[in-house]
Amino acid sequence: MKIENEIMAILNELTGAEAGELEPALDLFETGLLDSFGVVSLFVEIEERLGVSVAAETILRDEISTPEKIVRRVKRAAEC
Amino acid sequence: MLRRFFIGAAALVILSSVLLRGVYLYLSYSMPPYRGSVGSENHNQKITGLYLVKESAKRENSLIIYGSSELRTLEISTHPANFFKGGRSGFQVNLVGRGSCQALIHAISIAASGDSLTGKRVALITSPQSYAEEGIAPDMFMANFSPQQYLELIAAEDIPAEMKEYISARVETLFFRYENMAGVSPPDPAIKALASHAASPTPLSSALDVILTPYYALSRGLFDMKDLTLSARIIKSAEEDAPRQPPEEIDWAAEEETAIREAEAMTSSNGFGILDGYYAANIGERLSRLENRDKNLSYSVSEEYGDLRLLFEVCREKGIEPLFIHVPLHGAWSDYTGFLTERREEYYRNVNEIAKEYGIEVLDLTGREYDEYFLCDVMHLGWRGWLEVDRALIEYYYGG
Amino acid sequence: MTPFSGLLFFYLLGLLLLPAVVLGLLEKPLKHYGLLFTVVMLAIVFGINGQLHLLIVFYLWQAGLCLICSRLKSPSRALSALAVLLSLLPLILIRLAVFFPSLGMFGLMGVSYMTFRALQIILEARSGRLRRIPIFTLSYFLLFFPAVSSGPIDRYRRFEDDISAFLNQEEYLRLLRRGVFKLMWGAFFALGLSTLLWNLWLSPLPDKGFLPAVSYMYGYTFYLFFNFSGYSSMAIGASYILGVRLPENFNMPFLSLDIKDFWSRWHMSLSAFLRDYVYTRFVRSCLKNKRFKNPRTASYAGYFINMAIMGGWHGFTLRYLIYGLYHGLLVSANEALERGWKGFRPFRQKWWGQVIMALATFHLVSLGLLIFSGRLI
Repeated sequence: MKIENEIMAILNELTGAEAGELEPALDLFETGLLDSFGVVSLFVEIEERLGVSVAAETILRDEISTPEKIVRRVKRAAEC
Repeated sequence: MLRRFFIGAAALVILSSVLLRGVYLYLSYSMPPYRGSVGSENHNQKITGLYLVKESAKRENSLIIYGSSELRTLEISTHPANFFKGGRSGFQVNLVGRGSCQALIHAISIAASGDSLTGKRVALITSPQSYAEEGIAPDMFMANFSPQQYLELIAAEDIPAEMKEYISARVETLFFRYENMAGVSPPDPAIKALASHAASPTPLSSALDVILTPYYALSRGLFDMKDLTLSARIIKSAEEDAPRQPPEEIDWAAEEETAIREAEAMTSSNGFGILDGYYAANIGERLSRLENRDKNLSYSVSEEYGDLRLLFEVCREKGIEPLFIHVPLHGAWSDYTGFLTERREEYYRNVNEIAKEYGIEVLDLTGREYDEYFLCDVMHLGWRGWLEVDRALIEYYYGG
Repeated sequence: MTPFSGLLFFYLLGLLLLPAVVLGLLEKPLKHYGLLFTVVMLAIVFGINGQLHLLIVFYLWQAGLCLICSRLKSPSRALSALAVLLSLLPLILIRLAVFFPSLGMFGLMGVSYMTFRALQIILEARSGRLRRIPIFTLSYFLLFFPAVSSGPIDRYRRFEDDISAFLNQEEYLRLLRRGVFKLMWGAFFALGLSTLLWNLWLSPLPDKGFLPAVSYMYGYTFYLFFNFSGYSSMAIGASYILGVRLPENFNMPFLSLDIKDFWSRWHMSLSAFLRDYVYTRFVRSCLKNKRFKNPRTASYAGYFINMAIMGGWHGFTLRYLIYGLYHGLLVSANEALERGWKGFRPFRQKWWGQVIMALATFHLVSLGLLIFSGRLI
């Protein structure tokens, strides 16, 4: 749960979204909440706070288009 | 699942062949009727295609002239296209050729024409400068070479194997020389492969030939369609045929007088009887530097002689009895540039001997080197030269 | 011989793809034949163009660099940078031919696209994510014929997944059908429509004057789209038949609402590549090292560097450099507008807002392509 909460917190900061606005299945790119810069900042923050390093260039946009997908992707990275 | 795939694939193949065939049939049915006046103009499609020359040969009153750069001098009123305009002598000339269309180009064109030229009236013009040692220059050959005609003649059953072999060996050589020129894009690889296979087959080239056979057939089909499309455009833009009239009596002395007057007006800038424009562009201030320029020039050995034999052989094979026009050099000019009588005579003799060997009717103009206004520049037929040709064409057309 | 043009090319392509179709229908692996196909096609095309020896040298060079990098335990930063530079060297030499014409003899078709393939392997090897890649897969990826001359730019990991995946008959048939369709659709675009546009619109235009330039701008934009997307589509189609799903390169770019949207629809595989390997790397290193007071500055700087490289990749001439900087400016302005103007997002959602934005974007893009076309400079 720690990972999830932390990621949601980062996403809220980055996107400036209201609490609760970020549904787990919300498409962050479609809604314009996340852009190229957002993705880089997101993973830099995740690395700093959670110590999980995900190389942004190896991720397909499709893999991280919603909050729940991001959580899944980061968990996978944390496992290996 | 697999069955559906095969049905789909078969449908695709059938559909595209029906489509191609349909387009071809549509094009051939919608062709406008041929117009004789197409013959008076220099269209490249007559050199590289097949349709226009075949159509003109179908008409009984055609006289086809295969030549090179001299055909371009349409500013001269005695040029056959001008002289016979409106069918004043009862036939329509058809000009085929442009600069550097030498014997090989015409041989390929005639060889690819099927039986359309058999027994027809055909005149061939040769010019001295073709007889440089290496014959036709590779880039000039490429500019005039027709893949359509070459594919056609390779597929033709009425051409003997040795003839295909000779032509293919020449094509192969010229492709090779062309590739070795600086800054050229590689010539058509499939035609190159075909030529080298037809010239000297190896197991590898045979295998390649089998692989490419459907390609050659398809590409012939596409060339035919392109030929029809371009020819249709040319025919539509040509003038309508004038009604036929009985041949006119021609007063040759009067014609000659007019020709000389015209020549005088067009050559006032120099003493060689050379067209003013040509003189200004090519000689003019460089005159003194050109003196003795050709003192080492010789036409005694040239690959062109072999190509000339081929051209005569192709004519024999096709049952054509051509009139061969042997054009002289410019006497006064050649003396000035140092291309002296002896070497000129040698070239005239060489060509005459080959023509004799094949029993070809020759209009030998080589004794007219020093006649004023016989040529219009240093190498092309002029006012009086063309008039001589016109007279010979009438005789040839109505003769035996 | 130019890939994907001329009857002879398509005849040979069809003939050599047939065995792949048979293998695919029999549910046999396609990758071994795929490599053979690639080698034979390259030998034919480059052989005819007289460039086969150059291609072999180029391949050995890049493959050697990739193998060394992927087999080093932990390559140092300097070593890795050196490898990147060496990998870029042939492309740079060829691009420098504008200034030193004697370098023109190294001009080799496809170098820009093959360099991208080698570069990603070298870059990823440095981050330790690619270890001991087999020579077979490496060679197949570096040389993969369909995309050699005009993209799209594939990714190694995706490519590797594709060639080792099992396709059953039904899946292969679906891929085959889409592949054939894409080939024909692409030919219609690149050989049909773009040629028509060129012959009927662009080539009759006079060289001078303002209105002809405006007309050229519109005509060239459509011409380039049909030409480029057509060639991409043919490459993708051919790759499908070999069981490889090359990524898409165009997605209705003229419907883009803003410039960032445009770059996710136009030459997508290039912009994604540069985004991942230039922009992302640059911005991440800036953020980590806190190089800028305002992190957004890193983003703007990243866009300029990104787009300048994009321009330079096309060639080292003034017009490509200007084209790159122009787009750097546009993308930065786009982002600034997005962030600075609260009404941007609501405006973007209204239908009339979308019409206005799409039209504005189209014109900005067309102006860029006019610069790109070289008509102005």
